[in-house]
Formats: sequence, C-alpha cells, structure tokens
Amino acid sequence: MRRAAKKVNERFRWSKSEVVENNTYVKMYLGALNKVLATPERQTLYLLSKFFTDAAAEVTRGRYLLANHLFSKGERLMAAINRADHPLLMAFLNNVYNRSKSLFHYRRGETDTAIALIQATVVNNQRLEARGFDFLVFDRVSQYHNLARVYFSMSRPEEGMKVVLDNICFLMTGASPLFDTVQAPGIRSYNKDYLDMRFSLLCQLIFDTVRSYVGEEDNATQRSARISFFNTLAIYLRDFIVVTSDEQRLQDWLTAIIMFYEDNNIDVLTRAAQRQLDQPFFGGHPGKLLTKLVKLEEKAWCLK
Amino acid sequence: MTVSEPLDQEDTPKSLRMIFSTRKGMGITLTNYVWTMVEAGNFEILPDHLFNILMFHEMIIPADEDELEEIIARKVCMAGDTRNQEAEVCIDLTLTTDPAFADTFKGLLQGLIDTSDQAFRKTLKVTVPDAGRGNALRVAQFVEDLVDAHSPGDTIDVQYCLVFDDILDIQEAQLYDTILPQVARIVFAFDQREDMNETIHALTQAQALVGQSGWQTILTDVRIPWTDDASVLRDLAAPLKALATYSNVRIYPAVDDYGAGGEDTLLQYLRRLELHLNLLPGTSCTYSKQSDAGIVSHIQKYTVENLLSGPSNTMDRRLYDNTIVEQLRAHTIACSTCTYLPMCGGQVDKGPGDDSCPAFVHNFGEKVRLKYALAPGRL
Repeated sequence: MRRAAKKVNERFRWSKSEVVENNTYVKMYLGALNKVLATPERQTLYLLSKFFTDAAAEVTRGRYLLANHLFSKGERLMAAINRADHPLLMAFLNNVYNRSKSLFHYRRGETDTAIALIQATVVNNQRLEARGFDFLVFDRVSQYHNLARVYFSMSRPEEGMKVVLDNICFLMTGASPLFDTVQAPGIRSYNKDYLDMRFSLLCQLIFDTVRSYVGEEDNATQRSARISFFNTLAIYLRDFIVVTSDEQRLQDWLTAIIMFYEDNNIDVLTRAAQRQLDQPFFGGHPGKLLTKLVKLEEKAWCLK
Repeated sequence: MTVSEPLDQEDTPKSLRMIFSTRKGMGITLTNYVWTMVEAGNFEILPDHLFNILMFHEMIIPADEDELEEIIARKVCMAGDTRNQEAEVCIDLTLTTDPAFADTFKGLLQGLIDTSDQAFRKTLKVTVPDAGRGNALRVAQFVEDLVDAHSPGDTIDVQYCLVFDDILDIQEAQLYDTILPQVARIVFAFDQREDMNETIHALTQAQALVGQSGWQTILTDVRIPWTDDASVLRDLAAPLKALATYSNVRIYPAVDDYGAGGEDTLLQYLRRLELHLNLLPGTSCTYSKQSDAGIVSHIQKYTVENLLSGPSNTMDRRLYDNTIVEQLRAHTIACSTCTYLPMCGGQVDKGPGDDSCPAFVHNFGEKVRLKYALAPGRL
C-alpha cells in the first residue's frame, strides 16, 4: 500500500472535524439542512448517513463484507422511518445511500445496478433542486462523473467521454444537453461557496480524465482521444464564463495546451513557464501533467 | 471510550479533556462544559458539527445497538474480507530451498485463487525477515517463479515487506531497486544490538535512505532499541528526531524489552524528545490472540505491524473465528467487557487474573498524549 507524502504534523491531525468545518460542500449541505429539518430529523440523517459513508470507505479498502454489514445496518434503521411523516429526510437519506451503494456495486463489477442507483440519485437530486436546494446541481455533476467512470470501466469510452464533456461544458458555460437547468446567467452572481464548488469540480473532471482515460499511453488510440478531448474543450473555452483569477489561470492553461496541439509546438513548455503555468496550481500539479503530455506527444511526432 | 482528567491545571468549565474512542482508535478534546452535556446525554442541544464529530468517533451510537455484538460482527466481517483477498506469508531464505515449503506455498496460492469472493485483486503479502545482503532478491525470485508458474493469468499482486535488522547503506540499498515498486513496507529492526554506536550508525544510514527517491513513498517502520541508560538515550535523540521528520516513517520502541517500570521511563524519554509517536494499534485488527503458542508453522499468518504495534507482539495469533466469538458471547473471558476490545480483538481462553494483555493498554493515557503531542498534563 502506497501512501501519499504528508507532513508529519498532519499525520495525526483530527481530520474529521476539519472536514466538517472546512469542506465547502458539507458546509452548504449542513447550512441548508439546518433550515428545513428539525433537530431530531437532522441527527437521524447524520447518524444513518454515517453507516453509508463508512460503508463506502470500507469499499475503497476492499472490505466488502464489512461494507455490507454497515449497509444492512443502515438499511434496517432507514426502513424503520415513517416515510410519509418525513419526506424530505428520506429524500436526503436516499441521496447519501444511493451514492455510497452505487460505489459498492461499481467496485464489485455490478455495473447495471450501479448505473440504476446513480440515475435514481440524479432524479432525486433534480426533485430537490426544484424545491430550492439548488446547490445540489453540483452533487449531480459529481454523480454524472461517477456515471462516466462506470462507462469507462465497462469499455464504453464513447459514452463515458460524452458524459464527461457534457459535465465540463455545463460547468464552464452554464448550459449543456445533460442538464435541464441553465446556469449561465447566474454564474457571475455565484457566492464564494458556489464558485469554489464549480472550480474544484471542473479541475477534478479535466485532470481525472486526462490522467485516467486519455493521458496514459503514447499509442494512436489514446493520442486521438486526447486530441479530440482538447479540441472539444477548445470549443467550450469560447463560452467559458470566467469569474475568478483561478479560472483565469485554468483558461490560460487550457489555451496553452490547445495551441500546443494546433501547432504541434513543443515550445509550449517554455511558453507555459513564462506565464508560470508550470508551477503548482489548482491545488495540484497541472504543470507536471503538461510536461507529461508533451513527452507523450514528442514521441508520436518523432515517429512521424 | 476513555476520558481524561482536565488537561489544564485548573478545572474550569473551559478546561479541556481528552476523550479517546477505542472503537475508532482516535481521540478528541472537549471542554468540560461540552463534556457535561454529552455525559448527560443532552444530544439535542449539541450544534451539528459537534454532533457529527462525536458520531464520527462513535461516541454517539444508535440507542438499540448491542455494542459487543457490533464489535464481534465487524471483526468477523473484516477477518472474512482478509481471508477472501489476502494471504500473508513469511519466507526466510532457508525456506526457498525447502521442497516441502514449495508445496505448502503452492497450496496457499491455490487457496487464494479459489476463494469465491468476486474481488478483482488478490494480494499475497510476503514478509522477508533478514532481508539484507541480497536475501530479499533471492526470496523475491523464488516467489515470482512460483506465482508465475501457478497463476499465469496475473491475478495475484505480490507485495513485500522487507525486514532489515542490520545496517543498510545506500550502496546496498540500490540492489533492491528492481523489486522496490512491489515493496509496501520496510522495517528497520535495530533492537538487538549490543553496541549503541552501531545502532546510531544504523539509524543514520536509515535516515539517509528514507529520503531517497523510490524509498520515500514506502511506509517505513523503525524499531528502536530501548534502554534504561539515560546517556545512551540522549545519544539516540538526534537520529531519531531526524527520522521522525519523514512522513513515511513510523518509530516504535522494541516493546518486548521493557518491564513494568521500564515503560514509564521510556515514555518520559519520548516525551522529552517531543517525538510524535503512535504506539496505539488501529481498530482494524482482525486477529485474536491465542493463549497456546504451539502453532507456529511456516505459513503462520502474521504481519509485521502486528508484531510491532498490534495487540499481540508474537506470532501466536490467528484470524478472528468462532472460538473467540463464542467465548466473548458467553462472557467466559474478561475481554467481553473490556474497553480496549475493539483495538485488541481479545484473547482466547483468557483466565481470571491473567495479565497477558497487549502492551498498548499499559500507560494508555500517556500513549494517547504522545500520539497527539498534547502538553504534559494530568492525563
């Protein structure tokens, strides 16, 4: 088991309290629930959600029996709730449950069940969004991202890529075929939490896709997948609604890559360095990713 | 769950207490004021984030939960997961030329392939004791040959844990570059030496190594010698502190060596060094301790982590099974009501007055304090 390098003083920090206090999504979530659910309902939601999120954590460790135990325990408690009396509580519970359980099925290779659960969550989210929980649109983006992962794992890369691109298009431009709502007019008036969510999801989608699905090999298939990915991003880039300086840098970074592909120009690294795009940013190292891409393409061009 | 005395000198509503959850293996600090509310069960008036934190640490659990049954169920599940997906084996060099062992090893591989669980990857964890002088490579060659011959479909991941009990310098370390990607853990066990200068040299070499590329991502356990001699301990301070700054390094004292009085001195010493040390096991232990140590076979399943920090520091342990479960349920052993059960797992046939509890339960509060680097106080 490899561990990512962490600072020694962070090793024993009490992570959960920091997550609860600092995670933008959790903050929004708790804030919104505070307004609509009474204390006993909220505490029930937290208590049951814990079984499902713990189960999901065990899934990632490969402990399926333990995950199953935690799921069943939560399911039993959930079944005891009177649905008619607590419709909103049940809607939120279902959301957490489906998200965790879809991971379980996905990891076990039961892709059809995983997809069905993701789609159920999407419908559930749409319903809640319509009731005023508009921040759940970001949850939907993340659900679609999961859906794409399932498609990729099923060797259906075209469908996976379509979902990823629709997702990115929505976050960048505020509208896409995958979404019934159009956010474009509202993006400029997003508060900081919304902007943070939007930006972190956008980075996650772009970098995860490059790293995991189109950026690994220097063979012809992956190369054409890479080129078509960035070509599509080039189209979205024209309508990219840029609000923050972070988004400005992302725009610069993408522009650099697209120019690199248009000109077959290996000097992209020098140019990126001039604009400090080779430095760590977006909380990661897209500069390194850029270098990796260039190395991959260099090989391909030398062969030509 | 264990609760400390107030950490401050004065006991006011604002004084902090450390609350440690043995179910989660983690602690939090709460003010006296909040603690009074929690103790009284006034959960409805707790703010959400505090409620969540208490729940995360399993200090708040559903009212109808039978705690002992829940602990047993989790242990049994975890043991089942381990059984389905992993096999652990300890191979020293002499075994590689033992034909009987080759057969045993093939049986182990077959068992791993045959398990019915649909998990995608099966992991074979190979511990190589005395890995120095190229031994690790020879053992790895032996393992790869057998695994390739037996499971050509590449369905088994092999992970190595290399145990070095001798000085390992950078030059020798380069020998192992070829198997490094498969090395999940390195253990430097420097507890057996007579000459402390040699130990200091060994620690310094280890420190040079853990920063090297390829090595810096591998979890490294450094097992340090332990002595009552204050001047010797002082000499060890510099290399230990240097090692402790690496994020992939965990330092353990050689727990076999200290007696009842010895550990106090050791803990005081570690506190003076201001080392962040975690001498507590996690709650993911899937083994119960066996009271009769007669079954040490070639295929004895154990991990070095268990050897070092776990509930039992001997090889006489086995995956959680019916024997321990029945005894826990029947309350024939004291472990059924023990606070430390989630971290320990319990001991089969533990009789009354039997003080063979794992080392971590002694001076527990002090170890919690070391783990979280809390200021000296009345824990």
